Amino acid sequence: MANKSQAPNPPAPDNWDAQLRKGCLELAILASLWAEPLYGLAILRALHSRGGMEVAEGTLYPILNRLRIDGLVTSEWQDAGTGHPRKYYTLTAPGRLKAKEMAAAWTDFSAQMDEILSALRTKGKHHGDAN
Amino acid sequence: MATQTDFRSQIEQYLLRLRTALGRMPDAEKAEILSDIRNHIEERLSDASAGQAEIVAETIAALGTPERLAESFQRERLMARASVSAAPTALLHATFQWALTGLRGFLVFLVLLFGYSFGLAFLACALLKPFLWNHIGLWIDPPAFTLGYISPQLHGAHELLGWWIIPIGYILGPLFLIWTTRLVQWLLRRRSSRTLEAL
Repeated sequence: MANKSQAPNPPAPDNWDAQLRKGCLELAILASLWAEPLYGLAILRALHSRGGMEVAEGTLYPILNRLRIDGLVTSEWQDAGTGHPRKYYTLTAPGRLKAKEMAAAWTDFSAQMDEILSALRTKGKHHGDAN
Repeated sequence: MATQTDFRSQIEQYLLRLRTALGRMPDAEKAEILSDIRNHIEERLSDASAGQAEIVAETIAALGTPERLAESFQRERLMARASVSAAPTALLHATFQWALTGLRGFLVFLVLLFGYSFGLAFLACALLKPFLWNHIGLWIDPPAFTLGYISPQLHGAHELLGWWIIPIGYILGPLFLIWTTRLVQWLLRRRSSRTLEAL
């Protein structure tokens, strides 16, 4: 019979990291539209170039569709002279308000986490260190 | 080597499968989604001067299978409707769909049903007590409780709150309805954020 370990499952930092980024994705998309209207691919590129965030294409469009239904963005097809139209997404007034609220919440949360994590950066002894 | 016809056919097949997988969504919205995805692929293609077949394959892989993509659209759309609207029908629809996917969804659906039932029962008791004073109320017939209409002579039950059911019903009824709505909206939002596809 195999000797089963009683230890809990090991942590999964990759999964945790993915979950964290997913939670922030809506805010990141709203923020990418703050300065100017963008089309889908341009949003992906903006997220990548400004924050190094890689977002799957199959993730972006359903969220954009939801933001549109929620009234946080509007969309408009424009002829970009590329042979096919582009759909530009623009933040609405409620979208701007929501982005500001989410950004404020993020800033508060980030400051709290910084404070908590400062303990990891101090050079004090570990609790279990020998004298 | 893939020809232009090959990858064009690949795009059309992908969109056809996506259209089928989007199911009973309104035609206008379905057409909008298909246009979005078609134009996204075209946008990717317009960037590449060569290797277009590879670009199409990469883009389709990044979008995920049509069925999974359609599921994301439907889920997000459902969550949007439920989170924007507190309409009981939207919440019932969203939680019923969730219930079909597993135990957690089933429990949330039960919470919604019980919450609404208690809310409506308290309100109905408060409204009807003056007219059916000896039949309406909170009754105990150990070990069972009954909130609503009962024939106490028949069951041997006795009433707990008496006329207090009127103010209590008018307070607890709306509170049950509001709290249940808010709780389920919060659970739906939480589920939505947790089940987004991988970045």
